[in-house]
Amino acid sequence: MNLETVAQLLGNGLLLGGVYAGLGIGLSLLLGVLKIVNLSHSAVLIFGSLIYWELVNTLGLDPILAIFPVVVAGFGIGVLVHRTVGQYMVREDSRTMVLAFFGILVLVESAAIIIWTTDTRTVNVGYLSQLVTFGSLSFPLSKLVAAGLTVLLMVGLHLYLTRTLGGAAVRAISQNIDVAQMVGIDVTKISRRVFGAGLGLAAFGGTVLAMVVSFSPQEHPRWLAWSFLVVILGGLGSTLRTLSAGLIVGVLESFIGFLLPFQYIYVVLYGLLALLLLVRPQGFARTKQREL
Amino acid sequence: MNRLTEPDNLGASLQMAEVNAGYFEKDLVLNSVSINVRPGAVTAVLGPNGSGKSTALRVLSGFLPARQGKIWLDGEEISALSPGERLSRGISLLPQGRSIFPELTVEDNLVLGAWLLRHNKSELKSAVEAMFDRYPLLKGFRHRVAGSLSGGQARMLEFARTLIVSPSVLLIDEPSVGLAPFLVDEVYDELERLKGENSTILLVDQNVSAAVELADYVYTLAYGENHLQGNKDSFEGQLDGLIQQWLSL
Repeated sequence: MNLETVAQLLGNGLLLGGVYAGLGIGLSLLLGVLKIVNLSHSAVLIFGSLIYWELVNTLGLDPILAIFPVVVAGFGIGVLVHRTVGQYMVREDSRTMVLAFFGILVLVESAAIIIWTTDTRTVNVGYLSQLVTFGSLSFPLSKLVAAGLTVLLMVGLHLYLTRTLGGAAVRAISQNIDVAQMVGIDVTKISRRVFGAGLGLAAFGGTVLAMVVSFSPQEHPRWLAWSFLVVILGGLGSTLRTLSAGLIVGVLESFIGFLLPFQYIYVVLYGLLALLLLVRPQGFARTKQREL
Repeated sequence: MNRLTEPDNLGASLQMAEVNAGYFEKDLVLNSVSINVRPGAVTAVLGPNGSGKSTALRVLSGFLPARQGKIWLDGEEISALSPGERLSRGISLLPQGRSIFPELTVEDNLVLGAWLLRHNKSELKSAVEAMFDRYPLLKGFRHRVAGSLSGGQARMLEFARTLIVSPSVLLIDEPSVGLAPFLVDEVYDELERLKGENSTILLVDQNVSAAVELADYVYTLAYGENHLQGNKDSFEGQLDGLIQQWLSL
C-alpha cells in the first residue's frame, strides 16, 4: 500500500465517517438527554431519505436546499409525537419504552413501504455527482457536501450546547432532571424541543445518507446498527465525540474494506465494538463525578 | 408541647393546612398534616424514617400534589401552582443527596440556579458574582466541573445555587445526610449564618439534636401525622426520650 492509496483511503473514510456521524447524532441526542432508546431512529431516517428523494427526483429541488424542509418536517413531527405520546412514554419503564418505539418503527417502515414500495432508490444529485480532485486524489462532491454539512451541523450543535444558556439547560436535564425542574427549567417544553431535534436530526441523517448511497425502506436496520455503533463508541454527552466516533468508524471501514473481503467489515467492526464494551463501556466519554 | 389538632395561625409565611398526600393511589404518606413556617425563623420538622418529613417538603415545593388540604404563602393560596410557579414566588427547595449538575462547571451550575433571571443578563451575572462573594471557595473552582468537587464543596455549591434567586422561604431536606462529620459542622455553620440573616427556613433533618439547637420552632411527625409541636425550649431535656420513642416505632 503506497502513500497515495493510504491518503485516498483515509479521505474516503473521513467522508464516509462524516456521513455516519450524521446517522448517529439524532440517536445520541435522544439517548444522552432524554434517556430514550429510539429504536425507530432508522425508520425515521429512511423516511427522511424517501421524502428527500421525492423533493429532489420528483420535484426537482436543489439537493442541498431540499435538506431543510426534510429536517424541519422531522422536527415538527417529533414535537407532535412528543406532545401526543412521547411525553407519556418517557415516564414508563425502559422495556415499555423500547417496545413503544419498536411499534413506531414498524408503523413508519410499513407506511414507507406502502407509499414507496420496497424498490431501491437513488437520489439524482445532479451537480453534486461530479468528482473533485486534489492532486492525484479524487472524491465525489456529494460525499464532500454530505460530510461537510454534517460536520457544520455538529459543530453548531456543540456550540449551542456548550456556549448558550439554552444549551446548558439541555445538558442540565440530561444530568439531573429533578434538579433542572427545581431551578425552574421548563423540563417538558425543553424535552419536547429535544425530542423534535432528535427526529429532525434523524431525518437529516436520512438526507446525507441518500446523497451518497442507494437505499430502500426495508434495509434501515443496517443503518440502525451503524448508528448505535457510532453512539456507543462516542459515548453519551458530547456532539464532538459522536463526530469523532463516526470518523473513526468510517476510516476503519475504508481500510478494512481495502485490506479484507467486504464481508469481513461487519465482523471486524462489531468485534471491535464488543471489545470496547468489555473494556470501556462508556466509549470515549469521561467519568468525572467524585464520590463523597 | 401539645398534640396538634388545628393548624395554628402565628403569621406564618408558608403554611400547610390539613394536607393529605401520597405517591400511590391507595397509599397515604401524609394524613391531615399541618405545618406553619414562620417568617424569619427556623422551623424544624423531625420524626423517624418514613414519617413523611421529606414528603411534606415535596408537597410544599409543588413536586407532589396535595390530595386534600391547602398550601398558603403569605395569605395567598398556592396549592394549585406548579413547582416553577412556586419557585418564582420565592419557595426554593434544597433536596437531600447530591443535587448538582456534575458535568457542568461550578459557574454553569450557578447560572442555571438563576434560571428565573435568564431574561435579565446583568441581574443574572451580578447574582452569580454575589454567590461567589458569599462563597469565596467556590470562586476558585469557577471553571471546574462540579462533579469533581468534594462532598462539602458540592454542598456549598448546592446552597449557593439555592440562594442565588434570593428565596423568601428555604426548604432544606436532610442537609447533612451522607456527609463526613466535619462537613456536617460546616453545613450547620452555614445554616447558622442563614438564621443570623433572618432567613425563613423549614428544615428536615435526621440529626435531631443539631436541628433542635438551630430551630426556633419544632414539629414532629409520626406515621404521617402531626405528633408534637412547640418552641425549641419545650423540647429541651426530652430529646433522648423522643429518639427512643422513634426507634421503637
